[in-house]
Amino acid sequence: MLNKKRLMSFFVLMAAALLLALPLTASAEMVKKVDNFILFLDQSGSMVHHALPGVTLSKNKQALATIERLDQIIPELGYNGAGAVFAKYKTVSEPAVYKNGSLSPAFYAVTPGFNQWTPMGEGIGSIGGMVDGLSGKTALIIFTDGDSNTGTDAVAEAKSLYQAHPGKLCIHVVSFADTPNGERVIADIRALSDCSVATDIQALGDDAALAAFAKAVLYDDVMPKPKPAPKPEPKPVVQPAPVVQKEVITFNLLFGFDKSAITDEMVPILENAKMILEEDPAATFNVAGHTDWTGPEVYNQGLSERRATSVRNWLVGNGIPADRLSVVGYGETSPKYDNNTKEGRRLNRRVELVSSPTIVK
Amino acid sequence: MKNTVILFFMGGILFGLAGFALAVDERPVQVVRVTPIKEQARAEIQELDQMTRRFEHFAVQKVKDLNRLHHLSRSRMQITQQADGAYHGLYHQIDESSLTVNVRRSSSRTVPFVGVLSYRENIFEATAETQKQLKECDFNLVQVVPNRHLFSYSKGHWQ
Repeated sequence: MLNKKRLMSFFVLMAAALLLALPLTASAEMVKKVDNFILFLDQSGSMVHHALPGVTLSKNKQALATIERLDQIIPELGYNGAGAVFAKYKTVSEPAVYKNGSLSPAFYAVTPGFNQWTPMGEGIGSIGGMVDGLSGKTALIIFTDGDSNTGTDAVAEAKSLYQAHPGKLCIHVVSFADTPNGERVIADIRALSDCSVATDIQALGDDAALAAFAKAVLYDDVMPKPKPAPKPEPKPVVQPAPVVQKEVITFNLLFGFDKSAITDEMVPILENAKMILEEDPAATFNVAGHTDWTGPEVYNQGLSERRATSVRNWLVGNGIPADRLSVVGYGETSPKYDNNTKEGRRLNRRVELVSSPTIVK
Repeated sequence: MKNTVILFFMGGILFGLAGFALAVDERPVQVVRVTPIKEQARAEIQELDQMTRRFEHFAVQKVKDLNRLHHLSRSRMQITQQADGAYHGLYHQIDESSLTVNVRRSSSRTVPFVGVLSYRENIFEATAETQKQLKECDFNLVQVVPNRHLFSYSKGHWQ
């Protein structure tokens, strides 16, 4: 009798425990931590042509296999997924709504260059363009041995990327490091933010570890909160339609240093500009000359005016009525691109045809 | 006698004509090969198609570079503090989905092609109480600037 009672008590207790536990396990939801993720693969010579000790596959092939496994288990929670490689930098898959298995084929389709240096800094700088174009939070997962040996400093570039996207970016590194330099670079990049999840390729050989890494980077299991009382409908905010400005026609003519004469190489571009001007014979334009910030401001002002005048004179000499075109020199005062970079300065040395309602005399 | 001579004469003429005919038949037939104008046009079209595809690839990367280098890109947005203490932010970004390209031949040997890249440059604005909030909040599209950017093909690459 006593034993039966004890047995009944035991079963009642077990049932109660089960009933209590069920709500905790049955209802957890996967909630994404980020809106976007980018898989970023190092294809330098040290990755493509070297293997880790005790491993047959090259580091690059190990990374590809891991990317393929990851691509099968990332939950489809509405992320924008993308892929890129560096050494040399190339986007292999543009950001798009992520579906399982959609990214790894693009990586396999890329043929690495032979024995490329590791410009990790430039790679991180280049991926910044993709990150700039994404909205929301982004996880950047880099598969690398960290052995950066050319170009800009990888840690400094990663720091710049964090500064450009405060609170919206986290860089995670899957380490293939087998040199002190590689280990140090990876450690320094991870140290830039508390959000970074550290792992190495050896640990990810296990499927459970790979799943745990994906979860740590990309989503949480969250118990659904009880539904709050319905809030009153907010008044709809009607955003005004964006104002469409007049068209700008831009070209970078390769004037020689301190030169403003039109050369034969410039004529094809000017012929195309003329064709665009002829689309609307009534439209008037300001021919605006711009320079970069190299040299004195007064000098740049004069140079931009001379160059804009040369362009106007060519267009007028080739059939565009003179009263449709005016000349404006802005010198270095109206840069459109970053003068701190060589490419930005080159782009700033430009001529623009800007449609204008009135001619600037 | 007279008839015999006439017959001989006519036979000779006939024989000569026959020989001539045979000689004509034996002359080799000259085959004159003329390259159809269509083939040349097809080659030019293929070249233009190839150049357009190269320009498309160039254009996609160029727009990413333009967005990255814009002096008012999102990472370098213009932030001003208003009279009420709030912060106003503004940045430019080319809409990468708006790209269209057009490649034309030129008569220049050194610059055989010119490419026109058209795109919308969007200008976004927002206001927030703090700079930190400003950098994390959603921005509104307030202006669109249509652009046409001309590039030349020279020395084997687009520039």
